[in-house]
Amino acid sequence: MRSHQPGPGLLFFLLVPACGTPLPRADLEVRRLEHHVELARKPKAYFQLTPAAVVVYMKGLEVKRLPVERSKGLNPNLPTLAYIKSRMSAFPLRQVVVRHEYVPEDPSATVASPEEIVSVDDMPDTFAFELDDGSFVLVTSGASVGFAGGVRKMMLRSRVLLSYLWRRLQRPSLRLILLRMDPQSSRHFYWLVQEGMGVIY
Amino acid sequence: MKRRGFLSLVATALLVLLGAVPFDLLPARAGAREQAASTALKKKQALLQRQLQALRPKGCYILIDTAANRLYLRKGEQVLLDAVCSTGSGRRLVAENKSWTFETPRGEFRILNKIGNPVWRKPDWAFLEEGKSVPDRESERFEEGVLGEYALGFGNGYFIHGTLYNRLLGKNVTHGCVRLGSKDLLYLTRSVPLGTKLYIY
Repeated sequence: MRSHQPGPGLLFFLLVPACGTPLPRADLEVRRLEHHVELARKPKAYFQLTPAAVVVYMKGLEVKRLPVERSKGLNPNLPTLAYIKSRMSAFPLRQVVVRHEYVPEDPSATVASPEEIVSVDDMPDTFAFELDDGSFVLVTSGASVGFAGGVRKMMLRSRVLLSYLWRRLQRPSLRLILLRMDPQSSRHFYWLVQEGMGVIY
Repeated sequence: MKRRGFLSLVATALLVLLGAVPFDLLPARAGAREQAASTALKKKQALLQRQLQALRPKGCYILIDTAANRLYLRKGEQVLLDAVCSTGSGRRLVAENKSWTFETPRGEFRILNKIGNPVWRKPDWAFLEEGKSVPDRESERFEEGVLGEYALGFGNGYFIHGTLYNRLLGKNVTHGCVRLGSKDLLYLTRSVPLGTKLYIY
């Protein structure tokens, strides 16, 4: 069924091809391997963004693959390494707080039963993360969220786009990467993303 | 024809001697340079591949996907066990001016110990979560039979252990430990030696 939510197509026409000279094939492989070796030395998972999938690695081993339906802004001829600086979500994350004493002035005073949990299904399907080199990755999905949800998604996209364009004026080599995934994969991706994680894109 | 070839060779030699043509730009020399560069790249590529291979885990290792709640026991690329597990619930408990977040830690760990018929020493949060006060006597903290038949410790009080609640396997329900069904737990305990690497993502 076709979604009536505003898609990332609005942003696509604003994308300017990323700068940088493509590397020769052998150089490309060496660069890619250098990035993998650097990240595999760390105890954390890292991932590589490819036009077809987000590939999750741990110590140089592929451990998970999340399919990407559509991508824009990736340049496979110029593999780049960066680390996640911060992440932004279109919706506030659901928090389950168990407390036995009620504190009225605390805004997070959601009293939950000990059986309530936070799972992948509570993760947002539309989100963005900023890399330490100033580039942005915006992940969207076609999940139906209603009018208010659509507005929130639009606000996130606008925020990311404006931040990107502003920075791009100062550093032309920055990239904005758009990934369209199915809702389940994008939620899994959000669950995985943590600040400080390495990304090869 | 022979004479023309000889004359052009003499002319080139003179130009090089006079410094008009750099020696490196002569066709034969440039080809050799390219070949040397290509060999150097191939050597570097092979070196990086060896480094990456050295960073990959050797022998058996455990992978835990906290988003999908699955545990894999692998040897190289071969999957020896693919089991449903339960990982951290993401809940936050606030009590007595303290707070705890029940998440399974992510990263690289090792199996540090194996315990048969483990007894749970209940931490403070286990009492506070139930709305009870923390007991003064140490003997009141111990509970038998709730961790299954085995517990594999991986540091900071976290274990892979059994459960009484098999219906909750596959969900994020724990306080940070990893729960497994009894059959899978038995197989895992028998298969992994102490020091086995554990990767959680």
